[in-house]
Amino acid sequence: MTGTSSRLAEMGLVIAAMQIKVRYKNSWLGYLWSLGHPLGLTLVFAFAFHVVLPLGREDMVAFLVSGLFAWHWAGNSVVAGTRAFAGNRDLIKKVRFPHWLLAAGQVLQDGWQFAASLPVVAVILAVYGIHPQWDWLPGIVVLFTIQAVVLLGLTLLVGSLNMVLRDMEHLVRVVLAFLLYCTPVIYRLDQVPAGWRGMMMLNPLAGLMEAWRSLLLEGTLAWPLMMVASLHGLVWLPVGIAVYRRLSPHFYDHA
Amino acid sequence: MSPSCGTNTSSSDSTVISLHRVSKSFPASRKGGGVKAALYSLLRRRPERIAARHVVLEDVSLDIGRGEVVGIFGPNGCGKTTLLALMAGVTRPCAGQIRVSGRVVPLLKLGAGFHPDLSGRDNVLLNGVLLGLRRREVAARFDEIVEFAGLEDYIDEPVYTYSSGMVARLGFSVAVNADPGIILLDETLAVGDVEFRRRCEERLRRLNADGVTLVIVSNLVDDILANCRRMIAVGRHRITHDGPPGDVLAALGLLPPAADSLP
Repeated sequence: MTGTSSRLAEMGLVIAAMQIKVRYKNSWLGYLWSLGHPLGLTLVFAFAFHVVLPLGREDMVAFLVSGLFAWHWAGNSVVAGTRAFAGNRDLIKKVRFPHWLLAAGQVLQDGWQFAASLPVVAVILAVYGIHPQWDWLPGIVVLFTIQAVVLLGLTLLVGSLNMVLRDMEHLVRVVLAFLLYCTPVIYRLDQVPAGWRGMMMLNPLAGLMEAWRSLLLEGTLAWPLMMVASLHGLVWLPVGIAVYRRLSPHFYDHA
Repeated sequence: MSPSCGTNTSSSDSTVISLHRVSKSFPASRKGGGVKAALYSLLRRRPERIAARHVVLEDVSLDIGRGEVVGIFGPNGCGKTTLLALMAGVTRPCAGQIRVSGRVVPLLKLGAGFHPDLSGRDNVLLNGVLLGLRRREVAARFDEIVEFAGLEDYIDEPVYTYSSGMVARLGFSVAVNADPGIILLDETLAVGDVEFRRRCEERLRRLNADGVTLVIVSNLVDDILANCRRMIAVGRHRITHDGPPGDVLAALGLLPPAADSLP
């Protein structure tokens, strides 16, 4: 049993490592590019909500980076995860291995990229007078784990559905764009009218993003938010697994 | 009577592949298979939308014993590839049972799973791990894999710079080094050059001598005659003939009966 699971873990890690190699093409430039997208988003939102429609925060950039990098991980994994199976036709049709590892590899790969960008986030926070502490590390590990579980559930779900419903990809992009504005990334949760907050917690990523921010900006672990995020993990992972189990026997027919 | 009754069907423990009344069909087309179409059909209350299915294999039974060398023969589109895919376990039958025992190494397409942007070295690791080897096992066999493929000088180059023959050589080399119990080969060897094909055949013969079962899809009559002791002809979704290659080819009218067997 342990032999099987360590074999699976090794397979998943090799898949993720190879995807990272492909993306970075073994170069530092690749790493810089991986920072480019979330930093670009930060600039766009800083311009929109600091210059054009000021939200009245002096530390807008620090505020944004504390949430946007984690969001970028989530968004990337779900969008790329939609094609985790559909985009690997040869592996689905010609090679026998547990294909769900392709979704797990995607989540790990983007998660690794997020982890690798944390030092840059720390530098930006330091510029704004927030000095990350080593004792935040356990909190970072916990949030990272919860987010990985939620994302694995979501990518298994959308990746599997995309095999039988090929226009899933378009739908996922639209839903994610919508979710970004329904997630406390560019605003704080307490700015949301009280009556809407409960509704917002139905968003699988809302609690997580607010929890990341309270950890990275204030150094506090927001337990209620973490509970909400964990609940999402407990819901979405089984849902993702169930849908994958139901649909994966038909992947070959649709690949 | 199932077509395989003529062969050894005593499914003793020497049987490594066993198909029992297996059928496989595919959705006839992907037309309308989207979220939009699904919602539309819900709205229109047309849940009866019975998707037409395209039958590929119908009621196929066969047993293959340990150490056999079986050639599968038949016209394009008759279901050979699907038959191999079912044995490989990359797809499941719509009806019937399949039992396969031992480590299957499918070579349904040489270099399947190679990523063009990765180096040969990285692809050997990726492919080896996907075929079931541990990381350290791949590392231990790395030199042998590269040497057999004859790619010592190119192994750190990205695979997109390889010719199709080089990709095939590397794919084959990883596969034969992955401790196969059963090798499923889909007409893929034809890509390599003469010298490499000779070495492949020699390696396969050696593996077979050690008890590895070989199932080869090929339409090259000479290949089957030279290498296989059993030939299965597939036609119209079924197994039409199963027996020694000479007999099957004769029954198909592709070979005059051997002169010495005539009275």
